[in-house]
Amino acid sequence: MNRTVIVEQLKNYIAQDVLGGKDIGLDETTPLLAWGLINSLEMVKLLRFIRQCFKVDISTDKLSADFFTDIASITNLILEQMPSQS
Amino acid sequence: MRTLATTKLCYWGQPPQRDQPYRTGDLVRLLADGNYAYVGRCDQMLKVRGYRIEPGDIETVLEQHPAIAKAAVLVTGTGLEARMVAFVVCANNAPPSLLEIKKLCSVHLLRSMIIDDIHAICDLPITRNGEIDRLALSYLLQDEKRSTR
Repeated sequence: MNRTVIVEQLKNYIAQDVLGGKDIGLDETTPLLAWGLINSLEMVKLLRFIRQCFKVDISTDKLSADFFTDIASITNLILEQMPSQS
Repeated sequence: MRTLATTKLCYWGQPPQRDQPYRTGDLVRLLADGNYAYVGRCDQMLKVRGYRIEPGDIETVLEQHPAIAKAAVLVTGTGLEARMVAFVVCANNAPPSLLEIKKLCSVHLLRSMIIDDIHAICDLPITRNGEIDRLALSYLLQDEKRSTR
C-alpha cells in the first residue's frame, strides 16, 4: 500500500465519519487538532480505523499530539509501522 | 463528605456567600437516593464535554466572518456525544465551509469552543421577546436527525 492510497483513505474517513461529508478544502496538511477536527473520542475511533484498514497497531509510546497533527503525520507513522512488503 | 449545612451555604469549600446557597445556574433533579441528576442550565451557558461555554462568545466570532450575517450556537447530544452546532444566516448566497469556520474559531477561541457542525438557514427564529429562539433551533436539529435515520 503506497502513501497516496493511505492519504486518500484517511481523508475519506475524516471527511465522511468526522466531518459528515462537509470536507471542502481538506488536505493532508489541514491541522486536525489545532482546528478541532478531532477530539479525544475521535482519536480513539481513528486508531480503530487505522487498525482495521491498514492492519497497523500504533504503539502507545508513539501516541502524542505530533502523531495527530495532520493526515501527513499520521500517514508517516502508519508507513513506518507497516511490515515491509517483500 | 460535606454536611448539609456546608453544601447549603458554601460552594466547593469557599466561604459562605451572604448566608445564601451558591447559585451555580445548573438545573438539577433530586433523585430518590439523594443524588442530583443534571438537567441543564437556567441561562444560555452550554456544557460540552465538561467545559462550560458561553454561546455568545462563539457567535460573536462567527459573525466576524464576511459571509455570516447572524449566528446561533447550541448543543446537541449529551455526554461524550455532545456536539456544538452553529446555525448561520449567510450574508450572501454561499455559506462558508465547516473547515473555514473551524479555522476561524481556532484563531480566536479555545479549542473546547471550536464548533463541530454548521447549518445554514434563511433566518434565525425569534421569540416574542426578540431573542433567538434556541428551542425552535433544537427542534430543527431533531427533525433533521429523524429525517436522516
